[in-house]
Amino acid sequence: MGMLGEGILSEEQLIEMAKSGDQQAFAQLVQRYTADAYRTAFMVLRDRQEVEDVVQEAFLISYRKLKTFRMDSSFKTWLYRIVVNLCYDRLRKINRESAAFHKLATNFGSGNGDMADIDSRIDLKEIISSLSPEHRLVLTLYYKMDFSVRKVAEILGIPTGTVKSRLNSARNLIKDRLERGHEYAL
Amino acid sequence: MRCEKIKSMLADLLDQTLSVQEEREVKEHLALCEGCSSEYLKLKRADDLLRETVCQMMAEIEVPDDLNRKIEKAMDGGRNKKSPESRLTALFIVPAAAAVLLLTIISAAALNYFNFFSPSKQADMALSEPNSGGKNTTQNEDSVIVSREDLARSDSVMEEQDLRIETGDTGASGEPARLTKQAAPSVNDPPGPDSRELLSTESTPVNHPDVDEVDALDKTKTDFPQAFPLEYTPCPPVGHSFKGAGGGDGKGGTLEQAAREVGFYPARPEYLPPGAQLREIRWLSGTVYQNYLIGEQYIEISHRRLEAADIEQVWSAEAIKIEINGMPAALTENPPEAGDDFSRERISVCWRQDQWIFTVSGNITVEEIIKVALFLK
Repeated sequence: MGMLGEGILSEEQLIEMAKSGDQQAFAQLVQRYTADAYRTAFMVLRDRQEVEDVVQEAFLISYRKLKTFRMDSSFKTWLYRIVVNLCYDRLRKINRESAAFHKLATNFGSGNGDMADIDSRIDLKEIISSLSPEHRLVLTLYYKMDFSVRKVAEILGIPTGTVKSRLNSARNLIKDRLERGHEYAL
Repeated sequence: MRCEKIKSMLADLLDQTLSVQEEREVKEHLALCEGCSSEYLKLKRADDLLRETVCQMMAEIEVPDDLNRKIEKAMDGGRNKKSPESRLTALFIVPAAAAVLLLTIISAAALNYFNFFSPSKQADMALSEPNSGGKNTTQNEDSVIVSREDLARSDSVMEEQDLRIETGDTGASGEPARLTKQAAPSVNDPPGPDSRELLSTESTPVNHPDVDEVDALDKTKTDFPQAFPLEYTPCPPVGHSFKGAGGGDGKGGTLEQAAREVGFYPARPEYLPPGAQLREIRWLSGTVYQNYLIGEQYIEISHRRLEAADIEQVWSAEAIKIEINGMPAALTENPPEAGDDFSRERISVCWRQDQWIFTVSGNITVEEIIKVALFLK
């Protein structure tokens, strides 16, 4: 633990300061995670207003509960558990699964890859979009947020086997499609 | 290793969930086996594509420019900003000020609606403190708050965490509290739905992470139960004898027999003090009594249907108002009666839940009485 550079505090330092009541330190902490927390919640909820509410509430809660946070666990993991739980709450309340899927299918445009991949890329996004919210969450936390399998399991409160199963089913689906695509090209 | 086994481990290799030795063995095999190596590359390509797609989807999600400002606003509650340089920090509510504000709100609510069980710092509660003027509607001087420390001193097998004392949002101790059973959380884990689940509130969410700990989602604290008219109490008159109501005419037997006789299955205690042994089950006039002995002390649980006559009764002047699982309850302390086998004072907690009236009484500590009441199923 120590300064990362001149004037830049480590996360541990920010947390310690925030726990002592340093509001500016907490503000800096928040700013590091706001955007990704928003995007992660959006991958689940697909409704901007709901996502904004969730993110606001997540940071409110984390600020109130910061005193209970112990440095032997990761703040990012701790924060994402809050975000995920709030997302599940919203899902339960609003039950917009099907509506969210239809909304999402139009939200994601084509990729920027070369033309040979473009159809599969759109197809892949639709495939991911059609998965259950928890499945999308697994993929988001693992592939984008770079949580390990064990951490994803911890955040979602599911066994590591379930996380691996989710990852494998998505991979195998894509692997099969790639193999079929290759056959068509021949 | 055989190829079949290696192929079953390729996903684990990608996930980095193999042991050091397993990973070494798989990589050694892949270096020598073209078939397995090809299979691994296909899986890796799918994995890379999946990663790229997910990251692209995430990058395409636009984050509102004013999100941080909105978070500020939410935390500040609408106060004016202090400085443009650090907008987030400028609007945070000072914890002490928030505590004062929250206490004021809670006290105001308590005066009108709630009577809490307030803490005594001694092991024995100051139960003899009478209601001022015998009126219950506007005074809460007699309310007592149980602190975790008080409960922890009691000689109980139940973990302190099993019993949640809800304090104000600021977490300050000593604030009026409700006594509610809660699934036991572990200390450092982040908040989650299970942990905030109260017996008297929402049902368990499906597939919800087991996020224990703190009712981080404190929003459930706003679901205060409806207040009963304070002239209402379901409690039996003071003087109920352990030896049996109605002069010992109550029949004894098993819980199943009692259930058949009274027409409902009696509530069972999910928690009893250590060493408690069932002494007797009796029923009389629609009430089932379960008596347990703990050494030389006793505890009795009664369960009956709510009756019209219950509505007419008033709070006993000596009763202390508490809440059990969100329902108003009366706690009374009575001196031993002539003819009782026991010399210690008897403590009773009585409350209504739906169409039932429950009483837990005994000459053990008040903390144990309350714990049994809270975990009566």
